[in-house]
Amino acid sequence: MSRCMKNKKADASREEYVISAGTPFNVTEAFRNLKASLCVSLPKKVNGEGSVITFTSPNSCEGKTTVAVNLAMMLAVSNAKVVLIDADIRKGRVAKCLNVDSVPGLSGYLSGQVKKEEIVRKYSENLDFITRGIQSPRPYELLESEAMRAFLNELKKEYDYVIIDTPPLPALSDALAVATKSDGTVIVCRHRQSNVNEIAKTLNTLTFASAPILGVVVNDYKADRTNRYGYYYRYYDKKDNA
Amino acid sequence: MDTNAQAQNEMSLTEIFKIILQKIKIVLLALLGGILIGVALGLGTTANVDYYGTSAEFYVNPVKKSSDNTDDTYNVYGAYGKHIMDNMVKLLSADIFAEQLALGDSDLPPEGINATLDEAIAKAKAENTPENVKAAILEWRKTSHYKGLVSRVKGCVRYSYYDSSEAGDVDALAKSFIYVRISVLNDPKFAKELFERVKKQLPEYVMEYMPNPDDEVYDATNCVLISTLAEVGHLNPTAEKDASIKYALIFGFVSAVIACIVIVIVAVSDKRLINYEATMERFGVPVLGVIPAIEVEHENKKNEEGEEK
Repeated sequence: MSRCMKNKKADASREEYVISAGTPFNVTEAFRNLKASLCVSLPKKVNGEGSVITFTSPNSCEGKTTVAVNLAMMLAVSNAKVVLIDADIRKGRVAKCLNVDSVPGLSGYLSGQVKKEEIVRKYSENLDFITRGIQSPRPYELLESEAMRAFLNELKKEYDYVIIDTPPLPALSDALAVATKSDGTVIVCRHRQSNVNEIAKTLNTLTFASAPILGVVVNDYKADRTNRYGYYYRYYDKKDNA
Repeated sequence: MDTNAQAQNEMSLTEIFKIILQKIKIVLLALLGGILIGVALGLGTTANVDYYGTSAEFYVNPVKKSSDNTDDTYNVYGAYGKHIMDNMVKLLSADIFAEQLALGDSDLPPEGINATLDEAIAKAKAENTPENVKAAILEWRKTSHYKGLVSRVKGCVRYSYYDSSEAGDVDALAKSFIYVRISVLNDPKFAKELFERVKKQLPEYVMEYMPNPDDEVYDATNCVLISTLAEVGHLNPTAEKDASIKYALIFGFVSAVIACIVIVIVAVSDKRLINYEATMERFGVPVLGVIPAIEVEHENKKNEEGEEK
């Protein structure tokens, strides 16, 4: 959904998109469907613990942060307690998405500089968020640490869903450190942009690391006029606006 | 879930057909472009290429010695062997007969080619002896005008005969028809003149030089024009249209095929995620959701307008 150009200058100008009252019907409905699919795909918890879902992608600019943020909002709207974590310590954009400061955040907590209460902030009634924090020279070690495991276990007891936004997988191993600790990983791909071979590589890496894969989300889908998927949403969009 | 997440590169015929169908506009454009190029090429190659001429048939037969029946002109017993007709046609095709056609009714070559020739012609006119005429002809043969004119006549007239003999049987009889085909490029006047000369001179030439197949039976040769309705006309009036259609079909078809090949190659080499359903089916991974594209600038503007209200 957010347009992204592949150079450093443009990277700074990437726009994030958050669902609001004016969001078209087809977009909100798509996120509702995603929420429903995820709830069905997640393994059932008998002990009442929440589910940890990792979001990653084959490459940057696929829209995983946008999808993760908006899904967290959608889950929160349906009265589930949700916490959104930005585990992309190098270049996380959850803070920008929510229009907040990125510090204090996860990296500060994992390195023992700040307390948990300082990093968990409230966004809405059912939605809390944790930004990435200050940039660290060793993000993989932080995410792979026992502190991160314990932190996630703690959050699972407090929240129904722990949504973690991570860096792209093939390029960086940070996502793998988190994916192996989660109940499922969602791979976000961008229609007409993601490389099929890179998607395959991502799936292979997760499979090799025994990280559970929930599925794929296709982002920025451009339907042609003959496509039944696009027709369905155009029909109901018109009917809603009538 | 299938843990083998290797992408497969095979493409079935159905998929290839679907890819081409999605880009059918490109194929149609290529077809149209090919057709236009073909039409232009057809018109270009046939512009100012008009052939004028005609075809004529001459009947040739030996005349029997019994001259009481003077109406025995059209003797149906064609007694000429294949080799005799073959030799006659070769004789007609030679430079010597072409020279006669080039001269036409005149015995002397045209004047004004060069001074030496003009001198020879003037002498032949003053003293009309066979030697002087021959001298003028020999002088004419040295000129490039002679070479050009005789070559042109030879190129414009073709001779053949009706050959009913079986292959390899050189002694079999050939029906006694000589066919003449005149074809002149972009000069109907010359075509008409040439045809008149052929009509007059060919029978005389054949009657003079055709060998007697049997001295005891025949004593002369007869040669008459039997296609009396033959007239010089435009031989290729539909050349432009025919060539345009031919090239349009060829170029149109080739363009469409090339377009299809290019489309398939581009699609095969395009590793982007286009058909996500098929791709994820190959990977054995479920699609949890499809988020449609949305213009961020447009939406931000709408959100801002909403907030202002």
